Amino acid sequence: MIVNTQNTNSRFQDAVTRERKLPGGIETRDLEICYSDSKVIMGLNINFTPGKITAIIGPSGCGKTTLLRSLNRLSELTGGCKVKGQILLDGEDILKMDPMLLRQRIGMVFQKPNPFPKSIRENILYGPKALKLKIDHDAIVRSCLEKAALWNELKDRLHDSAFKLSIGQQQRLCIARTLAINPEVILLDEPASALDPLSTASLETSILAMRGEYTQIIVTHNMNEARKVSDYVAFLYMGTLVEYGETEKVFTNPERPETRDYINGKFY
Amino acid sequence: MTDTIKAAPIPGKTNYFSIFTWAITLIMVAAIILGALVLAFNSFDICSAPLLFTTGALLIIIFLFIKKSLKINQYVLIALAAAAIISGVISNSLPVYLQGLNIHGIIHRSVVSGLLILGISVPGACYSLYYALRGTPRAFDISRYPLLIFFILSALAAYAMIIVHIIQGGTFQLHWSLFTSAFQSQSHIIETWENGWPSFTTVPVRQTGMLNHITGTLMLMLLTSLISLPVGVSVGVIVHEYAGRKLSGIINFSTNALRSISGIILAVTAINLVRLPKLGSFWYGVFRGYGYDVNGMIQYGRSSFLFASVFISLLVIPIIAKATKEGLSSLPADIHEGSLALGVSKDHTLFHIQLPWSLPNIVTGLMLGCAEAAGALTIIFLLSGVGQYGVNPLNETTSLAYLIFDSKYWQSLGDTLGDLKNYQFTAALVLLIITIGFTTMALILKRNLAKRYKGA
Repeated sequence: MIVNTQNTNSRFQDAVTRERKLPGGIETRDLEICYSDSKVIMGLNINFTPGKITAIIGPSGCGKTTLLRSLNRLSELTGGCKVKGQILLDGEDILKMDPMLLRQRIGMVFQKPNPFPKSIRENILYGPKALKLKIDHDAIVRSCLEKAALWNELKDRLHDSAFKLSIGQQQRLCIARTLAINPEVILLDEPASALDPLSTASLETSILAMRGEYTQIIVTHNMNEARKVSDYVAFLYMGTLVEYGETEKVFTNPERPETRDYINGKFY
Repeated sequence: MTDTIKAAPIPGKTNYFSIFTWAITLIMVAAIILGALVLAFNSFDICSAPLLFTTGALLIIIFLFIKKSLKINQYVLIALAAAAIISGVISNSLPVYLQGLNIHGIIHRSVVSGLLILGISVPGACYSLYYALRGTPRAFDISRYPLLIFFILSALAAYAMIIVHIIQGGTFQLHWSLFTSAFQSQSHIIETWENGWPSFTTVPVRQTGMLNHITGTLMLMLLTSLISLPVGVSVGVIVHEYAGRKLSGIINFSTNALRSISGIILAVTAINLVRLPKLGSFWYGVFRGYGYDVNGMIQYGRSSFLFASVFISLLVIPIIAKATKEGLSSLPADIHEGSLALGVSKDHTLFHIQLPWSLPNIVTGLMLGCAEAAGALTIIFLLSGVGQYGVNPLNETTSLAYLIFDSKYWQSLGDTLGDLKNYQFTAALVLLIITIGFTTMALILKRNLAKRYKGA
């Protein structure tokens, strides 16, 4: 994959015009995250490949979500969260970047669908309008909904409230909303945990459709989903990276016994 | 009470029992109505003793029907019957006037006998309904309805009495010209020349109306909203979003303290502040409020609309701040974070997600604030005047509340103030209509806003 090597100044230009970007690569170096008294992530070194889908799996409380939220510096909003070490986005330390500009490049989809209390169309245009992007509104609504596999379902009711949609549609709308500001990386925090099997399937379809265009990092508890969707799998346990590799290899022939136990559901 | 389920239906007599108890329930309800009438009009007092004796007799009839299985419930029933007969005797033996005699008497005995009737017939209705429904568990619940309905009605009766009183008094004096002309009571001095000497004659300028009071009330509401809305919303936002725990605690405490300060304390401060500027200075005019009379002379009032609304705002700001804060904290944290995760700034999130979400709450706060402005009695009493020289922010404060308050005083002045003294109730009616109108408008607005910005 081609790594973007633009400097900070031209990044700012990008934020205004939002030219099409290449998927960005994220790398962490000796990453430590601690809340006021407890260490959640200890010395994490991981390289998320640009354009690929990486699944982060691990038991509850192992720091998956904390790691994900620190990648776009959303964890800063929670009081008492300290991040040490380096997180590099295309070789640039994100802890020294403007958090707003960073979040424009790293989108996030949350565990619970969180559409804005606006119409479907306004939900998608919220980001572009707030960031004053000079783009064709109708075109962006259409393309984003098509990428999230929602256009056929919703093209006649774009002015309805987003709260009227089903939970699955709301979650895909949240993906479409994230796509509207054209990020390089998309973080997905257990996106299917609140969805029924059918909605999960269509969500997975839209995640797979975005492969190659965006770097995607997905946190999940569902082994099937991780296996179906991801290119790489990272197994996190007690704040450390136990195993990281290609999905097929990790699932068929894991190196570490803990990974095998967790994948087979024998973890205690 | 569920033990008596078996007691109610007696084989062979079930129908009679049912019909009897339903009839008795109806009589009990009639007794409640009569009791209320006795309380309201002393002329109904003649029926109180017979009513109580009848009630007691009916309760005994119920007791006789169900005597076969005597339980604690039935003891209560017979005690109630005994109480009915005893209170019948009491109400008959009371002197007609409880305090003073005959023509000097001031408290009629219907006050006591009415309460006695209600005290017996309301539980009596409950009991007879219970047996009419054959003592099932459902009957146990339903038999409480007379009691509940009685309490609800007696709460509503107070409101109904106030509204009927005001409408009765107000519509009697209602006249269209009241709303089209402003109150005036001035003397126009006319200078004429006779034989080379000036002579002055005074012509009274009198006009009856409450246009200036109505527009004054609206002006107070408008100015108070204009001052307190931005300040209150900002305080709410700062407390919720930007202030640390310590600062928001201090602000919270002081807004609550400000809310609980009695208006009279603020009013005392206000009337002292109003005296500060020197006579004739710029601030004197701004604080006091001024206007020009028919002779073109400047007239100062007690305080200007601007000054009064600043002080009323001190009462309204905490209400709006609290409402804003509650609205902001009712937004799910997920939606807030969702906006920030798009790289949108905090301010944009505030103006496009958080504040629209809390608009219904802010409208509620503003509605309460406007009601406060329309009826902030203590401040208005001490700071308002007749306000006959016009209604703009720098004129003398006047409002319908002041008109209502002061008409007693005007009555003592004889006819120097025209017919306006009679329009106390009309002013109360108009104030009621304005307040209810604003409340209704705010409720409709709130519902529409909630639909639009919350998708509810």
